[in-house]
Order: sequence, then structure tokens, then C-alpha cells
Amino acid sequence: MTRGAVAGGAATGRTIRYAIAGLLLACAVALVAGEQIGRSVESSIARWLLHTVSGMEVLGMHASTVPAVVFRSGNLRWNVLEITLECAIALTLAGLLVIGAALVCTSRCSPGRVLLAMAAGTSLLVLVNQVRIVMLALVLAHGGVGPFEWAHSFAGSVVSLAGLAGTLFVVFTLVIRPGAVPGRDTRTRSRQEAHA
Amino acid sequence: MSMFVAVVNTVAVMVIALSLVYFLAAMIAGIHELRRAGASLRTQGNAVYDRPFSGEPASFDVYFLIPCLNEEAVIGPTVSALAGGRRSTTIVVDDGSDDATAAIAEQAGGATTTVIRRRLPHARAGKGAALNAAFSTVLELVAERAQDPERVLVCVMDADGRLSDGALSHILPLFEDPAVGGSQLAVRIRNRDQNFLTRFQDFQFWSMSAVTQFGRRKTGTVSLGGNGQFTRLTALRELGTEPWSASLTEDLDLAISLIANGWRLETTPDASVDQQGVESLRRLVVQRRRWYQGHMTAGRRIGEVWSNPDIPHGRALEVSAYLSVPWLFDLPWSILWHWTLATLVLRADAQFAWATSPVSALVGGAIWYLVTFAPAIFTTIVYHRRDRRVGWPTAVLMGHAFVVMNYLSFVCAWGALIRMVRGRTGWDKTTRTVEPSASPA
Repeated sequence: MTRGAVAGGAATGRTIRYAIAGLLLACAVALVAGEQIGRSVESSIARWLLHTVSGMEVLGMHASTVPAVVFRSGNLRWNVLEITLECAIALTLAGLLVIGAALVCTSRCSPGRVLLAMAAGTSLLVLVNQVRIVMLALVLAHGGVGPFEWAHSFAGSVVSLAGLAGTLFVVFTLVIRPGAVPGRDTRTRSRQEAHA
Repeated sequence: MSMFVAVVNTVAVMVIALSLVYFLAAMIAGIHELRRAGASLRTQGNAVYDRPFSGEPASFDVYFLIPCLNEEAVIGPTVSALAGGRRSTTIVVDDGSDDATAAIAEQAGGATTTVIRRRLPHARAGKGAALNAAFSTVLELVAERAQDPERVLVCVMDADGRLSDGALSHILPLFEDPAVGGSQLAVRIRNRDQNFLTRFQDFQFWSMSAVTQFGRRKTGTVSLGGNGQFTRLTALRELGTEPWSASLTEDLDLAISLIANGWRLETTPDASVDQQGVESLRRLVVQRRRWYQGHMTAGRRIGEVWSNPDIPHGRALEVSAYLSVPWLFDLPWSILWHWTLATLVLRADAQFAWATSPVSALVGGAIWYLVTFAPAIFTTIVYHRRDRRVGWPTAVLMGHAFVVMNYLSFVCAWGALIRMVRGRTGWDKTTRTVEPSASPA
């Protein structure tokens, strides 16, 4: 392969990386700008999940003017869990995508692995937040307002933080897989061979 | 406004989560490495720092370099302790002292000690310059003595540094692995019983720093410090005639350079080095601000590390995370910490809404404490286990002292940033104090 072809290939690779980074950044901006849509999607998933898990009666999107989960608990009382901006994952997800954009710009990280990590990270964040919302709904349904306050202000925050920390760990493990890079770290290997 | 609040809260949570991942990964890896090495947290907990050469295999020639500037209070016992090796040489660099450092070193060190006297305007140009001066003497002596450079180690010691008993017998075997270019010992603070500040420094070095350093063995990226720093001569020679940079943290710079050249950096749980802690708050601020400035300046080498194909992924990530700490954690956290506190107070009714009765307040409060202060509880237990002589009250106090001592980091990090912006790179050397002749237990 000629030097020109190698340089051309590198330039193409760089262009692809920057294009993916731009796409991830655009997604991050879209998540922040359209956070209301994101909350509606999250509340829809939560409604389905809550109904599936508990069998409780859950009303559709039209039941509330804000993104919310409206359900009827055992005492036949209707409850409304509003999904606020801070209860949703839009901003956290946007932050994760910014990290992904930064990683994909470096030649060390394979764009494929970064995209895989972003997909896994997004799935984990969505899953953890859904678990949190359903947990809160169940606590409200079975325990009432007092335990709900505790679960919402404290346990929910712990679940969110642990979920985010776990997500970041998974993302970095996927992007920067442990161990030496094949064909790299040749100096260390040659030293060991020299002493063998 | 609600968007602004939500964004700041999200950034705070991201910073906490990132630091949690790094802290936990390093601490858990450290404990795992200790177990793998057949050691435990308490190993070296009651070490004595008197006879570093006992049981030494004498498998390497070792040159101890001690840069000194007005160290008459501590230099005598240091060179005296290093004089007993079968294949060791001590080189004291008197960097333009005004006191009797050189004379005391010559007298206490004996035949195996060489004193290099540097005079102004060449002296007092920083620790890196003093070490480079000693390095050229090492090269001359190695050539003159026809020693095999592959079997020569260089150890940087502080003027108040003391190696633990039998230290050489644990350090030298590490270098039998040809991939190992350097090794750093865990640091103990000798005057830890002096006051709260010296105790806190001991807690930081012996509890958190030491254990995370063990964890960094997994990636071969143990950070080098200025005391108890062992390097292979051939690894230093690859860096030219002046391996130590003019950086305020020349030790960290050296570590990055060695890693960039493909060397592994190691440590051992079976040896340590002790030194004086800084006894006054003013001196501690000056010292830590210098460390921060050096650490923050080294941050610009992240690009070099990241683009170096010789550095495996794990090493690159760990080194980058370590170099990012002041920029990604300390500086942002100095603001977010107060934001989080303000949020806690202003939203107290919502945050503590679960406290509806004395029982719920007690139980909920206990759970809230256990989760919120989990890292503090973890380091409390680690410190107590690292040295069983440390009582629980002291360990608990140190573990929770971060609430106040955070401010030391904030002041030093911002002070360092201001100095960087103003282009001030002067070296404020740590001043030592005279110690009683008897070694503390």
C-alpha cells in the first residue's frame, strides 16, 4: 500500500470518527431540547412495565396533561407519578453521549466499540430508571405517602447513582477493553524476550 | 430556571458517579492485589524503619539520590541508615544550602556517601535539576566501577526518608522482571501523632493512597513519588542525560515518561518508607498547592498517553483518569459540593420527608448516613486495619475529616490554577523540623 493510500485511509477514518462524534453530540442536544418527548416515552414504558409487573390498572397518556404514570392501587385510590425533568434520564443520557463523542474522536477507541458501549449504556440507564419508577409506584401503592417520600428522596437517588456508576463502568470496560492491544506494547515484549 | 437546576444536578451526579467508579475500582483492585501477593491490609502496619538492608539479596547495585536544601535537621540519620548496604552508594546533592547539610551528610554517611555541592546560580533550580546533577555522577560511577547498567537501580529519597526494615529484600526482586522500570513504596508519616494535620496526612498516604497504589499494579501504572522511588538505570538512560523534568512534580512526569516508553511501574506491600509530615497548615497549603500545580500541569500529557500506541488501553485509561483528577473532580467538586450542600438545606423538607416520626427519623437517618458516608466508612475501616494501633475513634475522625479537609483541596487546587494562569512556576520547598533522636513506635 502506498503512503498516499495510507494517508487517505487515515483521513477517511478521521472523517468517519468526527461524523459519529457529531451525530452523538446532535443526539445529546436533541435529548435536552426535546426532553418533554423523552419524558413521555419514559412514562409510556413505565406504564406498560407497571401494568405487566403488578397487574394494576394503569391509565393511558391522555389521563394526564404532563408526562406521568397514573395508576390505581389496591385501595382503589388513583395515584399520579409525574415524571419531572430530574426524574427522567434525558440529561444524564446527554452527558453519556458527550463522553461517547469525546471517546470516538480518539484513534485509540474503535468507533464500533464506542457505539456498542453507548447502546449498552443507554439501555442500562433506561432500565435502571424504569426499575426506579416502578419501584416508586409499588411503594406508593402498597405503603402510602410516607414510605414513598423515603423511597423517592433517598432510595431512588441511591438507585440512580448506583445505576449511573455501573453504567459508566460498563461503558469504559466496553470501550477500553482490558489487556494489551494485539500488536502493541512491543517494547515490553521485546525486553522480556531479550531476557528470556 | 428548572432546566438550569436540573443540568447542574446532573453534572454533580456525573462527577460523583465518575469519582465513585474510579475510587472503588482502585480500592477494590488494591485489596485484591494485596491478597494475590499473600499480604493483607495490616502488612507493614507496625513496620520499623531502621535496617533497610537486612536480608538484602545484593542482586543489584543501588544508588540512593538525596536532593537537599537546608536539611541539617534530618539528613544525618537518613544517610546513616543508608550506609549499610553491600552494593549501595549514597549521593547527597546539597543544592546550595545555607546550613550544615553537606558537612553532616559527609560525617554521617562515611565511605559509601558522596556529597555533590551545587552553588548559585546553578543551585536551587528545583528538585529535577538537583536529581539530574546526581544522575550524571551515577553514570560516571557506574562506568568507573564497570557495573552492569542492567543491574543498577537508582532510588530517590527525601532527606527525611527512612526505608522499612528489610525493604531492599522486597524491592530488588521486583526488578528481576525485565519489564519493570520503576517501583514506588507506600509512604508512612513518622510524626503522625504530632497533631491533627500530621495524622490526616498519615491517613491519606497509608489508607487511601497506598491501597489505590496497590490497585494500580494491575495496570502497571503505580505513580512515582519523591521518596522511596526506585528506577532502573537503563530505563532512566532512555530518557536522556536529564531524566527528571523541571516540573513541580518531576516524579509524576518521570512516571508518565517511563510508562510511555513501555515500562511497568510496580510496588510491594512488604516494604514502605516513612517521612515527616508537615505540621502547620500554612506549610501544608504551600506543599499541596505545589503538588496540585505539578499534577494539573501534567494533565497536558494525556494527549501524549492517549495517542501512544505502545501503551495498552488499560494503562492509558488509568493514567488519563489519574491525570484528570484535579481537572475533572477537584475543581468542579469545589463548586458542586456547595451546590449539593445548598440543595440539601433548601430542599430539606423534601429530602428528609421520610422523617415523620422519631423512629423513622432514627432508622432513616442511620440508613441515610450509611449510604451517604459509605466511602468515609470504607476508608475508616481500611485505616484501622492498615494499622491496628490506630484506635477506632481516630480512624473514624480521619475517615470523616474530608468534610472539613475538602477545603484544603479546594484552596490548593484553585491556588494552583491561579499560579498557572499567572505563569508562576516557582518551587516552594517543604521545610523540615528537628526530630527527637528516638524513633517513634
